[in-house]
Amino acid sequence: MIRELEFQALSQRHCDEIYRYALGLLGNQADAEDATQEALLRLWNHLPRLVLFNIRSWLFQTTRNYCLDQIRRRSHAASGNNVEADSDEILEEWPDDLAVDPSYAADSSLQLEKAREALQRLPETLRSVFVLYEVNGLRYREIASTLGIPINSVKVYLLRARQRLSKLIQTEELWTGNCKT
Amino acid sequence: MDRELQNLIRHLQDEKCPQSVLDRVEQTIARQKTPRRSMRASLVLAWTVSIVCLFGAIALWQRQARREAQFVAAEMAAAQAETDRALVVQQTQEAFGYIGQALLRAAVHTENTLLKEAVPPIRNGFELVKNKVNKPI
Repeated sequence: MIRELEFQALSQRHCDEIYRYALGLLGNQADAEDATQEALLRLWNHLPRLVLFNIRSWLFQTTRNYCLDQIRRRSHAASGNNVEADSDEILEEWPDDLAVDPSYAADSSLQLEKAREALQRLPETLRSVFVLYEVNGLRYREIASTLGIPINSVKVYLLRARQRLSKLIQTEELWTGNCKT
Repeated sequence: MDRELQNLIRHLQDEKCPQSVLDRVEQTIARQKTPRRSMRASLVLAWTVSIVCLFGAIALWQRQARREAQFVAAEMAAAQAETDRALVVQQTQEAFGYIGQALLRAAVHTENTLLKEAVPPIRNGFELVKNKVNKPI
């Protein structure tokens, strides 16, 4: 009974941030839901052996491991096709009428989609650091313990992630601008 | 930071885990728990049975040991009573012997005393009275 109550409290407290982290890593709501579900189930199974003060970090690690597995599986599945297909797919995913209607360029949902795409193009470590810091509000020390890297590396990765994201978004803007013209 | 990036961060921060995920987790856990419960129940049952058997065996052993102890104690008590009775008989015999001896000694002493101290004065008295009676006045 205590285990159930403990699990309920923990899952209520952490499910949103797990979901956000998984969404940031996988860029897909369905996959993020699966990842959250898996992380919570692993939490349930490992709860009697877990140390309570370290659970948040453990949850992020578990979610990350699951997400990395998913990403690897995806890349395996995609390796059967052309490697370039991925980027082509991304280009093809932009609706055709966007190029025609300039009002879409100002649409915030489109901008959001662009930023999301840019985030997905980051290497996994940079993406993890960015999402954990900016979205979930973890401290450098917590990120370092979650990802198993030094604190200085966390700072460097965060800086790099921001720079690359800015660059990618600007490139996208240029690309969109080229399409429009 | 870029506006798009800020938007993305804000958007991701607003994301909430759908309730359906938690529901699915609860369902999966409930499915997992059912066999576990039966396993746990069987484990508890096995523990209970073994503990009951253990306590039963200990209780039987204790009872047997107590019975044996009682039997031995009864035998010892009987032997002790026999010894005590023999001792009492012997002591009584000795006491009666002592009393008898004392009575015999008392009888001998009384006889001596009567013959030596009481009989001569009485005899002398009789003699004196006889002489007085026989003498004519």
